[in-house]
Amino acid sequence: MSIVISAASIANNGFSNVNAGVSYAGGAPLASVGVALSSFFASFGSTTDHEVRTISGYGEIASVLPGAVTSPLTGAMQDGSGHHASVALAIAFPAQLVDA
Amino acid sequence: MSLQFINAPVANGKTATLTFGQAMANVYGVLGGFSVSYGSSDHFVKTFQSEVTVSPDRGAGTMTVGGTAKLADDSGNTGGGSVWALGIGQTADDPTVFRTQTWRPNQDGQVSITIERQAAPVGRAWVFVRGFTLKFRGEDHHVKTIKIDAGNATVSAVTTARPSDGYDWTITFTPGLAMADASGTKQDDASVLELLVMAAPADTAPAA
Repeated sequence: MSIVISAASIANNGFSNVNAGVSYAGGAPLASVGVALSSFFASFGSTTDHEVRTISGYGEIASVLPGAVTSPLTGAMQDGSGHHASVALAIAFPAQLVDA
Repeated sequence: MSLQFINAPVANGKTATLTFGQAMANVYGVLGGFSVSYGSSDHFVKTFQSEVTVSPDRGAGTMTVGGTAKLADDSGNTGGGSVWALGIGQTADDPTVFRTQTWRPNQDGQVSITIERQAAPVGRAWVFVRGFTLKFRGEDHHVKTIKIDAGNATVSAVTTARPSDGYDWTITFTPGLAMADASGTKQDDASVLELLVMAAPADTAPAA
């Protein structure tokens, strides 16, 4: 059995449940897949700060196919007045392949 | 030999039991992500914290993960939320090597971990976030930027052959953790990033 890992990243002005597709070399069936935070960066701008209401950064697994995963990603930092930070989120997807 | 991965949401201050379906020699818990909120209003930030803790029950093939996800200011306002925990189970014959690492942004730089006397050369290595605590220096403040980075974009995994004694692996990477307002106030010395390094031998880790 082998371990593989792939990653998805997205950067935007706050996002929720944006579907990302992740593929693994060879398209082998996956016995087990996980979601792990790799990096999160949020900024209201180079000279602007705000109070904070919500900070979120995570991925989920929507479906698992041979050699591929689809994942909705959410990344946000916002205050209570509608100011949304720019967010860059990277999620790792470690996977265990089934026996060849 | 295998690793098994299970994700589960865990509310702040709560626990969840993850079931692997077989006995595991080792279990680990890392963050799949976080979501914290003050609720319907916004506030300054003094502390932003998210963490996954682990209570193993290896023989039963289960583990209990605890979640911390919270915000706080200096006026008694607190926010909660949840973590998206990833439980990793490792069977006894799996050759993957795990190491925990604590990293403090105001004190530490590049991390270099040596894993000695392995049976095969290293294949690839990854770094996961087990948890973090960000605190502003002094009082609470507005937020301009937040950065939480395991350092995967900088990872290198190098093998050194030992004469008649296997291989040493050296895993090198540079994490990041920061919080700042627009006036130049940054995180204090108590801010910390807790990491889990996962390294696999070359024969079990083909390029993804």
